[in-house]
Amino acid sequence: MQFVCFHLMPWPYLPDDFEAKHESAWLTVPNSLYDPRRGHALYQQYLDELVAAEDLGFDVIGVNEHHQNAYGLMPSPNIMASALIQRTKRIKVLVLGNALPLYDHPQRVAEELAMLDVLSAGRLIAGMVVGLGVEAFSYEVNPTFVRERYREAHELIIRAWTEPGPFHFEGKHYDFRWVNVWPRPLQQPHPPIILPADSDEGLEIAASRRVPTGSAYRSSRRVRAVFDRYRELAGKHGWTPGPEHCHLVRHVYVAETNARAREEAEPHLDYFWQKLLSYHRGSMALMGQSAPPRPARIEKADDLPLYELDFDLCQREGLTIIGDPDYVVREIQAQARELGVGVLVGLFQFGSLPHPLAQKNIRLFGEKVLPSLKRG
Amino acid sequence: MSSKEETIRVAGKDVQLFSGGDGPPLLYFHGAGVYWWLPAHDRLAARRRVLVPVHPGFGRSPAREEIESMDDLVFHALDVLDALRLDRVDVVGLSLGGWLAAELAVRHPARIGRLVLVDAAGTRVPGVERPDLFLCPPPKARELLFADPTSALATSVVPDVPPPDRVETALRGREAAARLLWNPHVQYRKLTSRLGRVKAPTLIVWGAQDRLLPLPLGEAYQRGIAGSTLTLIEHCGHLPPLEQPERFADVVLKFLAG
Repeated sequence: MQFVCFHLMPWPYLPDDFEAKHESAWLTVPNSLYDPRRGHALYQQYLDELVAAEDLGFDVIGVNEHHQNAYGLMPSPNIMASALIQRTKRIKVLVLGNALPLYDHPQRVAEELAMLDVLSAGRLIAGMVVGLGVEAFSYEVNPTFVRERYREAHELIIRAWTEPGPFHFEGKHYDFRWVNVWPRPLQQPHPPIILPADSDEGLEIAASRRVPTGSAYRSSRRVRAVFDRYRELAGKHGWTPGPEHCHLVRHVYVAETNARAREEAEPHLDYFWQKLLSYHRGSMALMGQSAPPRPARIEKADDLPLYELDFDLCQREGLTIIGDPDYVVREIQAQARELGVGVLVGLFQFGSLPHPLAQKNIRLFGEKVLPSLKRG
Repeated sequence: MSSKEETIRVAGKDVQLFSGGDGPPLLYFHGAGVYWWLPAHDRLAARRRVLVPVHPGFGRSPAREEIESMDDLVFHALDVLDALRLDRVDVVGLSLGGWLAAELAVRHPARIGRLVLVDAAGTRVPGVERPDLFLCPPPKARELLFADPTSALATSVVPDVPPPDRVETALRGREAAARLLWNPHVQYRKLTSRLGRVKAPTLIVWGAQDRLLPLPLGEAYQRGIAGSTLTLIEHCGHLPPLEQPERFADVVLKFLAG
């Protein structure tokens, strides 16, 4: 099994009454709430957390792309990947972004990722994502054409990396007469790719291209259904995905005891769901509907919008893995077995979790959890 | 007044068409949210044969992959005129349909007799905000669309949750609208400077309380189209045919009668 130390780089300083005063932590969230001086210190801390993962035995460190929000402060994940490459030696670097349909010039994505691959001597893993519905507003991209642009941009990038240039790429949304990326990527035929997906359409793209997929913020039951569907679609394309093709994003927190783990993590998880993922309230509006009323009895996490999730529900349904080293080892082994997952993409800093706790978490995971899991 | 609903063939594709009344034909281009026969159409049909073709993707007109922007809808509208054998016809357009009518009049002035633009999208005036209906929950949408957002009319046209039998049509309609209106957002930068090409006698009708497309956007049409007149409808938001059907029909029929 492989272990990714993944980061969103969230803004942890939203006011306590944020939900009461603001509709969402996305798009309409006033950027006066961001303080660049605190932001500078925060970037240093977040980079330090990821860099520490190398010596603790993680396989990969990862960064993420989002726009106009407090959930993740990396509109350009490539810039952060570049910083991480300079501070690490061996560990692979996952960029999950880039959100291809947002860009009118996906050649730029092909160029920047190739630069990162050369700069890192072939340590890049290239995620390619569709982006969120709300980001169609952020970048004024017509959502009707987002899937088409995603497929086309993906094809353009792969061809730009693998076919001798210059050549003419002739598409509906992208028509470039001169595709000729300098530099070319170091890894051959090209850096590994991951296409995370939740919908049938997304899973079909990953399955048809024989690349890994990933799932985030879903109950184990739902993740199982997603990966089963992916394996089924892959079967139709004549191949069988292994565990290494199934990436699972989980919040992970390790402390000395289960009680202490909960005490230290819970407020920051609440911040993550309730404040940072409040965009889901807005996204119901995007569909021209009001949010559905909360059911009287909550049976499953999948029934709820993410901003209503709480600690017990998340633990019970497998969305979070929080406890002492023994609990975390057993829970990861159980999920890996039941879901057929071979890559754990862990969020070790989440919501407003402060730097010292995030550092402690990553260290304990590296010292007390990873060795057991690596032994199998 | 009875109206008829049928499916006609336009350039090899199905198009839903409502029609009613007798007299010279009057073509009505609907907006992005209301694409069915209205009481206001009955009033117009007292004097004219009113034709309401439903744009692709809305109502029961199948979506068409090749329609990606207003430019494509203009070509589709030409096909509709041909299919209905209308060499030259009076046109009324509301909102999205008003923008379509204006683009058609700019590009093909010979096909338009008299032109009525009702709270029409299309113009851009620096500094005038165009709120985003795609981002609005229903209560906010009602405020933007209606002078009286609390009326029974407002909640029936924009319900909090669409009734089950309307959900699929509503979602298809939103996608069809997004194709045409998302980017550039409900306007085209160059339209204003081209309005001088409109040769048809033109009436601009605007709801005095239109908060979605504010009056300065209508005034831009009036400034751009030589000899046009602008008539305000009081106690009325973005949708005069719905919120003030009598007054709307009176104003339009009077203008069409010359």
